[in-house]
Amino acid sequence: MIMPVILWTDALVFLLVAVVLSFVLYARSKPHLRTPWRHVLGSRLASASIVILLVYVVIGLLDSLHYRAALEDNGAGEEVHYGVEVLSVLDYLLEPLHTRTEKTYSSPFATHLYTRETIQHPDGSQTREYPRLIWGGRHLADPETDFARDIRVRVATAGLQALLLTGLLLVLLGVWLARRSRHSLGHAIRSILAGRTRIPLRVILLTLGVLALLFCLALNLSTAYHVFGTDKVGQDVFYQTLKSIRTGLVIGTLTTLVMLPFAILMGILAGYARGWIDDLIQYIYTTLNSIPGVLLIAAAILMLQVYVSNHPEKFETALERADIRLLFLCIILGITSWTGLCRLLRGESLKLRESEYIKAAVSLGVSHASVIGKHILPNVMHIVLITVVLDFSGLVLAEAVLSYVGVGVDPTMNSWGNMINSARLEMAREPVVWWSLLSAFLFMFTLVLAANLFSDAVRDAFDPRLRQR
Amino acid sequence: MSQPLIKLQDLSVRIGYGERAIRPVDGVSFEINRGETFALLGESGCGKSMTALSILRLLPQPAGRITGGHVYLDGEDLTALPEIEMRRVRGRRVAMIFQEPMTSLNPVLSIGDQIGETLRQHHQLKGRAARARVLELLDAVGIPDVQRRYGEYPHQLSGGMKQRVMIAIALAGEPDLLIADEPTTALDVTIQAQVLELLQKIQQETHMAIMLITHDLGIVAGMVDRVAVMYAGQLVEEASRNRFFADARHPYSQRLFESLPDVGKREHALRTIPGFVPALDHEFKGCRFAERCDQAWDYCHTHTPSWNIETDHQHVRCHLADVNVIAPPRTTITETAKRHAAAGHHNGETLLDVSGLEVHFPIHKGVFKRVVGHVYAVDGISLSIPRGRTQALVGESGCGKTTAGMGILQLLRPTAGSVRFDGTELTGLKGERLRRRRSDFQFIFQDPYSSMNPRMRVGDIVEEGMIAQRIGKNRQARRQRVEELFAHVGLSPEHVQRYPHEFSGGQRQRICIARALAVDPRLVVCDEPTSALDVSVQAQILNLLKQLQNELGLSYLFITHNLSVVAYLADRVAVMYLGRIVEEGPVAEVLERPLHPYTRALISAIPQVEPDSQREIIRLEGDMPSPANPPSGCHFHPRCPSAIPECRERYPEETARGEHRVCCFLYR
Repeated sequence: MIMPVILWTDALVFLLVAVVLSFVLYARSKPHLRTPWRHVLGSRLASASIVILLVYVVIGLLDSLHYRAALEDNGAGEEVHYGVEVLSVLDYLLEPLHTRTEKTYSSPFATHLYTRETIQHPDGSQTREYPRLIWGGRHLADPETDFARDIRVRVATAGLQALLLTGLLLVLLGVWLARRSRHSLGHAIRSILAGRTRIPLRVILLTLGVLALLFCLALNLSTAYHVFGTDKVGQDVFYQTLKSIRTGLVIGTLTTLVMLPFAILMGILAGYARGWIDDLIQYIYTTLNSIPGVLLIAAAILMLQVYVSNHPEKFETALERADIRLLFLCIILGITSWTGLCRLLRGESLKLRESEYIKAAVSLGVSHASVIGKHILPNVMHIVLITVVLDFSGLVLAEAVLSYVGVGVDPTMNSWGNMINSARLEMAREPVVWWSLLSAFLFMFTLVLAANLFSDAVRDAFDPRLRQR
Repeated sequence: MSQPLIKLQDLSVRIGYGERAIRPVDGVSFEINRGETFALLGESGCGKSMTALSILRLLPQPAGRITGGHVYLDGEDLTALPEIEMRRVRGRRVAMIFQEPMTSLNPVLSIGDQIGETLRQHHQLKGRAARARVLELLDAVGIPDVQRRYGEYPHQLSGGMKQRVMIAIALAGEPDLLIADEPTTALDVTIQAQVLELLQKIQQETHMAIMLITHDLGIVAGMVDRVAVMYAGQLVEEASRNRFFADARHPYSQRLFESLPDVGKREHALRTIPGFVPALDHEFKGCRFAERCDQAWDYCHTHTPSWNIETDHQHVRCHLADVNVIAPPRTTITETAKRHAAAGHHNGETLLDVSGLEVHFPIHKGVFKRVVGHVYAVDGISLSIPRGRTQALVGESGCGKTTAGMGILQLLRPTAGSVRFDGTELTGLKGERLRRRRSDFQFIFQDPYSSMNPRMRVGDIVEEGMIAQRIGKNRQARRQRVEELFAHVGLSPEHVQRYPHEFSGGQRQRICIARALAVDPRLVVCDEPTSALDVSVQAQILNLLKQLQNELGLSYLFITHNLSVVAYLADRVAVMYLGRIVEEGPVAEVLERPLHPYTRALISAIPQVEPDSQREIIRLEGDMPSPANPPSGCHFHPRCPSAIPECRERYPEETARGEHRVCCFLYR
């Protein structure tokens, strides 16, 4: 028995997914939106980044399906009690990683702890040595001799599996293409391999192949070893990094969701209405812009903390407390970051309101609301889209910085910022514990790089000044 | 015979690669001799500018390139020169002036520096010598007060002045050939006359050759020696000016003449060229003009015409001129142009009555946005338009004619005066009541490219007004009406699902007209509806407007700077200068017997198509003053050739001479 738990951020994340999906459906029917997206998909770098981003999104979404497992039934007829710990589907899938905790630090692929311990032997003598890990390399009889061979076997298996998987993907893509273009399967596969397709399927396949290899490696190795080592309390760092993906994505996307209504409404209103409305809105965002963002964020987060500790009854689990803080962080980041887009939209609306088609609409007696909805909004959509995509990576990085400063997400929540923050002490240690920082860095870097490449392609496709004639 | 200065031999240009590469210039050959003025005439999209740019090898990079042929300058093949040698040619031996003087000058350099740059480059002149030469050049192009102008920046100059500076820059290199790409299209007629006169004067002094690119037959008639007509990347006719105007042989040239509006054609529909210039991204089979030619027969569609030589060095690319081709007897040689059905709507009842209309824009300055002055854009105009009639409002750019149109339709709020439409005062109407009323009067904009939302289907664009005015019971009824309107303005009803960018300029203007008609207006304000269009397309739109007026009894307020359009279309005309109407009366009266000195100058400045007409251009000094600071007394007196002392002191009252009203002391 499980009890589904819907956290605030979960609800908003799925709302966002719904919004994106409906936008995709809307865009399909509008050629001025469809053509640039085709352009984005046609770019090799962009389609590779889309694949990578999609993998991140899938992990994030799996991690957003939360539930509480029922406790062991201790008698018939009794009310079912649920565990305090809120788990996600991702936790369930990563069960072994989640539960196999060691005593303390161990380096990647280690079979022994990173620190020496005094061990009491049955004969009463004491020695200081590196003890064997409870889980890492547990199946090895003698790590010294078996380790290298075991790794080789596992890597080879992973390679084979990845090859099979990629082949399967090729066939699937081929079948899809063959159906669309009404050619034979063989012809479709040949044109994919030769790179003759309009969407660069060969690049997508290659990216998928690399991802499949990584996936198979993780599957084979992480079940037997801690591939990224363990942290101070013996938790698997690989697991933490995967859990951090959701935090990063939530910050990057929900903040936008919070910011957009403000920015779009105020920006268009200021540009279209002019006069005192424009003055007022400009005044608001100029003031907001001149207050240091970190100050506002710190104040808001501290206030929230006080509120949460004063009202413990409202938050049943630790995760809910952490979640409300994450949501608040998104809101406050949104409030401090809408001004840029608002300013852009104001400028564009100022320009558009003077355009002849708006004058024509006015002379036809069209109402203001309709002018804004039908004429201005569709003509500023490209700016909104470009800004949203460009802001995403900045926000992911902002989370890391804020958590490092201590005003970011809850310290109990898995996030790259928190990992980096704890790595501050680990880096000062002798011998250095480097793997927390490295793995957080690797995952964040990949995400931000993919997002940046993707946003470049989006900007190139949508910006009328950059568009190739 | 001496060698020609420049000789193009079978020049071909491509832009882009592969199958869909555009061929803007496809085998063009001509020669220009020293001291000669040569005109390249044609509609937009025919490859005129590309021909000029390829002479200088300034084609858009990286896509554009010369794929065949040669350009010989004094016998030297320019297409074979390395880039570094080309730099010696550009500016020094061949100079170019562009259409848009506003964007051709660098806004952060003073004009003295910009002219000096050319001198330094080509004549190694520096310091005092350069300055002296710049002043000389500025003086030569007729810029007054050269010492002060030397240090001024482009934004401080008017459009005509900027074009003069561009000419000075071109002259700085003392070129043998000056290429002028539509040098006066962006300028007003009185300024255009000044600039053309200047070019002629300079040519006489320096004996350079001018290659003039234009679409205006009037300019061609006024100043060139030889004409070449370009169509779809090829020359279709080449002749001396007199020969061309006396006897144009190619059907395209003939149609160009016939589609020009003027008084004599008032009672008839203009002859138009159906369709538009074909896209140049494919190989042509047969004659390129065959699709639009009313004299074409089967042979034209399958056989490419050759470059036939007629008498007197006239060349024509047409099967009709080819002695080896036997043309079928023409059945309908010249069908008499359609007469406009005389309409019975002219009952003289006043529809719109404007009196004392003022639109002033406050000028704000300082932190508190204090009002420090006003721009007197429209300063007390009075007009009345009867049902089913056309009133034209004429004037140069900046005289406030568009503002007047917007003020009448309440798109801009007038600061004073009254606008009575069918008995209702419009200036007091607000919000919803004004919005309901808007279906009665509509606006058609100048630029059909920017007056439609690029994100909407054209069907929705036309339907929008009907939704706002609650016309049509349901979506289906509205849709049906949209399709009817499309058919009415000469578009296929299947087009409703398309987007604006899929249409040509003329088609877009038709859609704009359909949009205005959708709400059943009684008055339509047309703001230069044809000035962005080619001559042949202009004729189509003018015909459509006239036909609609006769069918629906519309009244037009026709805002334009083009007096020949006025002569063709309007019943009455008002001439505006600096926010005020200086003369008003029936079209025939005003155009044939103008009273006000400004009207007379304006009419004399229009280039005439008859090359032999010995007309005296009344030259106006300087530019129109700023409407923020109009001159005292009569606004026109600083430029008026017949000003008397009284003009300086007070504004003349209106004097009526029958139907004809004028504001001038000469007619008291």
